[in-house]
Amino acid sequence: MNALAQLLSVRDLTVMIARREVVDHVSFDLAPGETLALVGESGCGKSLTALALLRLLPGAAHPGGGAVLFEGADLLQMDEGFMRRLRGNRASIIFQDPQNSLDPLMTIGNQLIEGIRAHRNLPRAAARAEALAMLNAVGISEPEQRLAQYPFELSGGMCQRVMIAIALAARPAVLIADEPTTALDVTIQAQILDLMKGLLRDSGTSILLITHDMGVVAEMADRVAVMYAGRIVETGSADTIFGAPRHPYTVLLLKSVARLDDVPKTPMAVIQGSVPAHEEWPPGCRFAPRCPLAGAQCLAEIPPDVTIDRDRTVACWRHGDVTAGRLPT
Amino acid sequence: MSVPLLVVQELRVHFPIRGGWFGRARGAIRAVDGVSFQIRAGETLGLVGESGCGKSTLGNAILRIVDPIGGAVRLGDVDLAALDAAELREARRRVQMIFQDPYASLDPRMTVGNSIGEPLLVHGLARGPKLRHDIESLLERVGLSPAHADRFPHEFSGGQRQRLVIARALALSPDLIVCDEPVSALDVSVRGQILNLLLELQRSLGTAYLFISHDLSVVRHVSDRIAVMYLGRIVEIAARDALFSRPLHPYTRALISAIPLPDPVAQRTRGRIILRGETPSPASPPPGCPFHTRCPIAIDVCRREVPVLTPKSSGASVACHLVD
Repeated sequence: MNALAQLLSVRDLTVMIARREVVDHVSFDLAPGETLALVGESGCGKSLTALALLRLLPGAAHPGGGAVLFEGADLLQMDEGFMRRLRGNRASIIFQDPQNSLDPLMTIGNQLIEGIRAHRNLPRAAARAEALAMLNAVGISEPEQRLAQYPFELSGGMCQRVMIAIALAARPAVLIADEPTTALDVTIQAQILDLMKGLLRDSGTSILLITHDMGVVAEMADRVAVMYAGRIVETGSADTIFGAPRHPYTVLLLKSVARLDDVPKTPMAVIQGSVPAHEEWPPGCRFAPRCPLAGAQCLAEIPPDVTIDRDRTVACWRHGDVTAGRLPT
Repeated sequence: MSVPLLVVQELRVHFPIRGGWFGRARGAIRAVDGVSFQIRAGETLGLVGESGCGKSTLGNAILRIVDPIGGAVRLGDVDLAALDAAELREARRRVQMIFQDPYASLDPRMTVGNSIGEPLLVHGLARGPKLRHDIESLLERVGLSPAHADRFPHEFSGGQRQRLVIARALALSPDLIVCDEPVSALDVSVRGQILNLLLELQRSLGTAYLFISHDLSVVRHVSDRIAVMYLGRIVEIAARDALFSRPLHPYTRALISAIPLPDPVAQRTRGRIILRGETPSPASPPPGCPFHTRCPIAIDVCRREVPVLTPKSSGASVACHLVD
């Protein structure tokens, strides 16, 4: 796809912890209005990727190279003042745990109003009216009363609605959502996902959705990038990733999820072994030690990203065998 | 029908809310509020519900990790809820528990062999070379190597630790294992391994499970029957296939329709019931049916009278005024 048509273009992004590349040459694009899911298991580097985009990496981690092109600027090269104006304005982020993301000592109203006024030159009364409108938009009952309440007085689902309201108040071009519903119950998750879909359809905001939950991916994403051990192993449209996955990890991960149409009480498909800690990442393809198709080349050399179709890449030496149905499951 | 292994009757667990002068009780959280069900030998009863519905407290109350304030937990001819400490220790040989977090379930300063063998030692069932032999065969039983016995928990991955916890639960050959979210803390790619192990052990040993989880897809995979909890009560209990093909309680229907399906095509075509509002606090449950505040079909009687769990012609039991 034409790089100019992209809102966000990430090229060879690398994040280091203790001289190891825990995010290793990650590249992806996000088009205006599109939802891209970055999916993977814990420790695969998906959250560090999200934090690195907005230069919010924790102390132990630092960028080790690459570029994050957003609206004409490489965010890795900009100064902190530029980043402060960008965050919560053109690019917002929400996290898994909404109760810890809000300031416990400030009312919901002050947090919303502060957020609005930090980026827009509005009088306080106008900002307050805007805050009320936002709470209404995210489906919070009795918004007047909520403005005077503190985060501890609200449930988890309610706090996540407030976070979404704050994140969307400045009408950002991109929303980075890191496991936004993982801490919530399924009926509340359904409410929040429904809300996000509606708001984003109306505003045209792009979403980078970070999650481990294939069900959430299937519900939200236009395109999917699958991460394993610090690298993107496969990208494609949601329908092709779920319908015809080409990387052995994606194939096996989808098969190992319990589904409502599998036969109960029979053995489930499994991936042998466990996700390696980053000190134990092997030299070649990082999935090779768990892959039923792995050969000598897989163990020795990192596979390159291969474009196998329009807007579809896979990093696997044996993807031809997967396509031919030779992956034992 | 054979005699049930476990019969839970009208079980109640309330936690006092303390505050004010001298920490007097100001009220109570009704975590489990009159729950009855049975588990047959060798079967799996799945227990689903959202956080705070009381499902973990119910599991804990069966083993008396928390004490119920009323009701009975009959295992054969003993009532676990009425035993003193010494009798309870003996009775617990027959019921074991597996928790969510395998990292917190093993003593970090004990070799895993000693952790697994401790129940056998405590109950005086094995020592010396026989104990060592029993520990090694338990390790093999859960897919680990006998040589692992001398290692410490930190040397194992999350999935392997859950295998160790299962080995320890099996040491006393229990009739029932209460599994509280046994795969929720594990990576997606490792969950299947542990579920397969639990299923294989049940087939070969005939152990019954009370399988507690918030994940309906997982519960469906392992269970024979399923109970749905909401705000301290069971609202529906039915055979697995009946529950998923013909859910009767409005909450069960909403819960099943909210499961995120890992299939974008199916996801786009299915109907969804989006509940409004939030789960009320178990400290101040609403009058009448506990679900009426979020129920899309609630009528007047639902706001006044608590519906009783009633057997229906289909074989399911449902607590709803509007289901015949």
